[in-house]
Amino acid sequence: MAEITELLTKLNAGDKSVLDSLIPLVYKELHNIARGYLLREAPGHTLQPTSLIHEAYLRMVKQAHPEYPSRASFYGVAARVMRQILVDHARSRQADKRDGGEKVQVTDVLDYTDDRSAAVLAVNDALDRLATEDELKSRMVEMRFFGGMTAEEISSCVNVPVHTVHRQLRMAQAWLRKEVTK
Amino acid sequence: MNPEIERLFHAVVALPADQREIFLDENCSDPQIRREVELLLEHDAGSETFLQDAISNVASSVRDAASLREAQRVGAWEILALIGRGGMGAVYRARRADGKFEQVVAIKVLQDLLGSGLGKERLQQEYRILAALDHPNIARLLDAGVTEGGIPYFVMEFVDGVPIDKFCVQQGLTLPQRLRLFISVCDAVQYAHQKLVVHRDLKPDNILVTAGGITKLLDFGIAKVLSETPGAAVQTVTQALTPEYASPEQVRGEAISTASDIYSLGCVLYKMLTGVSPHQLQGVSTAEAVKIICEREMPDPRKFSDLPADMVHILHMALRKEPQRRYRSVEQFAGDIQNLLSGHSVLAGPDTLWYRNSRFARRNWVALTAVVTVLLALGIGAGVATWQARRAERRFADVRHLANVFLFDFEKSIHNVPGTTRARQLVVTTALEYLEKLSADAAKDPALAREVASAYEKVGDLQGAGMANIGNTAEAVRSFEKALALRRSLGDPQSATPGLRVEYGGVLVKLATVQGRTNQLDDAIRHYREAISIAEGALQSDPDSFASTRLLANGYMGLPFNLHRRSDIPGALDSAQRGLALRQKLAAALPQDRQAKQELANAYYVGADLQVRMEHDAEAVPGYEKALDLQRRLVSEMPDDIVARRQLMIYLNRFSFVQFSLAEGDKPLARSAVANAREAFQIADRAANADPANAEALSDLMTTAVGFGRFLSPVEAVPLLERAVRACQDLVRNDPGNRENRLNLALSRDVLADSLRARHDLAGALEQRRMAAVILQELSAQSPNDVKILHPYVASLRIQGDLLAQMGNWDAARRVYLQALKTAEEMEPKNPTFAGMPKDLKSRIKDVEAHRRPAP
Repeated sequence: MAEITELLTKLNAGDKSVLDSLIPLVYKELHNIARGYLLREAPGHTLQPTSLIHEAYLRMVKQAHPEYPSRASFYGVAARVMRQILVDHARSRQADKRDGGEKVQVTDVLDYTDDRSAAVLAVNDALDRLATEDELKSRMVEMRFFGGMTAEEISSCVNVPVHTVHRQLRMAQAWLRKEVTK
Repeated sequence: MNPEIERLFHAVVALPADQREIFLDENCSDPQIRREVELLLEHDAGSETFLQDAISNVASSVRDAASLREAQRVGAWEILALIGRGGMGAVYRARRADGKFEQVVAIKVLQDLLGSGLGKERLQQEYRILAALDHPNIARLLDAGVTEGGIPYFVMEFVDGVPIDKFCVQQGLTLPQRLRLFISVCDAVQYAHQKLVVHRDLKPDNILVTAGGITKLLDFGIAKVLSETPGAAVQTVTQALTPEYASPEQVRGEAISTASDIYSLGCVLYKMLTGVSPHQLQGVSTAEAVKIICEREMPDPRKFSDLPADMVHILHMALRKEPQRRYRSVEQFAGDIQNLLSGHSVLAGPDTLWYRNSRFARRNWVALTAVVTVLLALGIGAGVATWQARRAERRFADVRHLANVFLFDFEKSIHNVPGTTRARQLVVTTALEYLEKLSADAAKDPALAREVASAYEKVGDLQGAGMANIGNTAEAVRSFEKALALRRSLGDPQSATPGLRVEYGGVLVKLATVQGRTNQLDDAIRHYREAISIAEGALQSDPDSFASTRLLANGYMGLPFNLHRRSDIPGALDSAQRGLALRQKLAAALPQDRQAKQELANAYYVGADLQVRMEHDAEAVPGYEKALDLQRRLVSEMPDDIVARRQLMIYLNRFSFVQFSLAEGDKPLARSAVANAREAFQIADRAANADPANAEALSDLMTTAVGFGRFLSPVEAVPLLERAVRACQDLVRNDPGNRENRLNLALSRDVLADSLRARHDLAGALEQRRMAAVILQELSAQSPNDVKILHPYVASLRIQGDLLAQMGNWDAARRVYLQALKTAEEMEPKNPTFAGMPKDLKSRIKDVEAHRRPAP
């Protein structure tokens, strides 16, 4: 618990190096949720994958720091953690594919998934490039798409009016798509 | 980020599309900035979905990894790793948790069907069907179940391979190599279709090729489980489909058949040959996708790849929008590819359907005629292809239905129609194909076992026991034995309900009948007796049951001839009497029942014929007369009843023989014999002309021709008898195990020989006699004391000797007489028929010996 609190404080203060230590903890929480999800969840109740990860993060942090200051800034941290988790996962899938580690079986959309893994990596790279030009836009995209936050939540987290969030996001989305598909 | 670009972007996206260009013309003079803004505008639409998709896909992959790493076990299987995710759930690599064996498997966990109502039972039922698919190119289904949490799963053979389209590219396969690979896929699909399983979701990702170049089809039939699970959300099912490979009928939600698999295979082949699927559906709405699949013709594959024209025709034929215009079967599809590979002309052509169809029709004329007959009889208006498609699609429950329709309804409808033997043959083949499959499942399902047993019984009738059968007695015995075994699997027949007991006994009687005809006398007698004991048991619990009484009578009436042939004369007489009494009782109790009257007539006939067989010809006359009287009335009541007509023919023919032997100068009796023989021949001739493939009709024709031929002048008789001999030859060829046919061939040759001799054709007569003797000798070797064979054998040898003597061939004549003498001397003490024969032969031998030694 103390460990998580400490890591979160550091992360909030801008120390991105703590992410590596934080992610395994989120994963662990993910498993707890997933087990319940797989074995006990009410029929027809399907969680969105991103919100599942979200939930994992929330539960973990709640345990660590019940009176965490602001919901919005907390989400902001969550978005970063999630981006990291997803990108790591995509990278490991790509590596598997290169190593021939995991062979294709009932492929269904596996190749499709692999392509999408590539897509998320491309988005990640483009997002890094965007950050060098426009840090705020990059953060907003991270919150919106990796963190699953609403424009209102982003607005209160980064302290800009909601309509500006909309505008900035629209611009950033088009730019990212252009970057990724070019 | 350039603030100017950003400003212009926001200004332009707020405008309607048609005003954007004008706005930029007026507000942006820097071409580089303008280009940048235009690029952003181009990527604006759908950018949100684009990012969401990219992220949520990876997120679901994380979720699966997390969930299963924790869940670890599914049923008896331990999860090793996630290997894929589909519309329905995820696929994992796994192994047996209890270490019973080391096999690595793939488990498809249908998470999205959680709580969908797909019960364990239903899953197991599907599992049984799918697990029966045993083909080297189909990944075996090993297990299926529901997790503790209620999630259905399938366990399959783990296949280490790559999708077939990628394999083609990776290995740089040539066109023939690609086609041969594809044909191996077709083999597997055809195999499954024969097992009545339609894949429904064929696509490259479901067709893997191993490093050894072996194709493996995955997920056979699973799409069906999904689509038929009521609780599964419609959306989920739609998502499970891969629209690029789905057929028009599939996306429209219509009935799916083997033709749908043919379409999907066509798409796979298109992809293998061109690198693209026939319809590009990425980023297209569902409604648009349906429209494209249902309406747009496939793009010319030669836009993407250099292909021969026939290859394009083949693809076209597989990808036709209307299922009935595609290849009729996967086999035909593969066959056409084979045609292409071996340089033969292909079936598929550019819209010259009529020509193609007519060509096909000509080649398969016989089969088509039969099938069309069947279809018409069934009242099915659909084309042949649809019928076949339907046949494969309706699995299990429907097959059961179809088998019943085929065997019972259809058979009933053509039963009395002459000329339908070929159609019956087809029915038998088709039905057997299904029954083989069904009997495996019957063990667990009593109702099914009973149905399958009845079906086998019916097949047995068609094969060789009933009226108008196709004359394959050995196969008929097998079918009846299968029917009996199935019924026994339901429990001891003696302790079953009376109804079931009577059904069992009925099959026994049929089996015994065929066995009696094929000279398996002991088996026949045993089975008749078993039927009698079953009927007696059933009558104890229900003494007034007509069905049990009828069975008892049938059991008794089967025995006399067989017992007589086993020389059990008292037994034969006793059972004939009991049978007659029972049938009299039944006919009196059921005055409106044609069958009861028919059976009574038959009882009179059997009793009379038994007398004849016992050499009491005169005692037989009243019995024959009663039988004929009853039968004539039945025929006049219903002139179209060919079964009744045939019985009449049999009685007439037989009676005529007896009258003839009794006549001896009694002119009215002789005239009556001739008239009866003529009438019998006319009935048989009509039946054989109407249905030349009908074994029974041929056999009847032969018998009556011989009977009638006796009364004709030699010149008139020879063509008639030659026809009889030919008919017998056909019969023997079609059913070599049938002893009766061979005996009849010998006898008809004998009769023909007599007519030839009367025409002074001694060589011709001798030839026929020789061939007859050879047959009779073979037959007597199989049943040493059978008078029915040995008497004509000795007689035939004697006449052969006479002919040889007449031709001056004294040595040969002597040899033949001696051969006859040997048998005659053996038989004389055993059977009165042979009385005086040795003496007669000896005097003939003396004669020829006198001629041999030239007078001194």
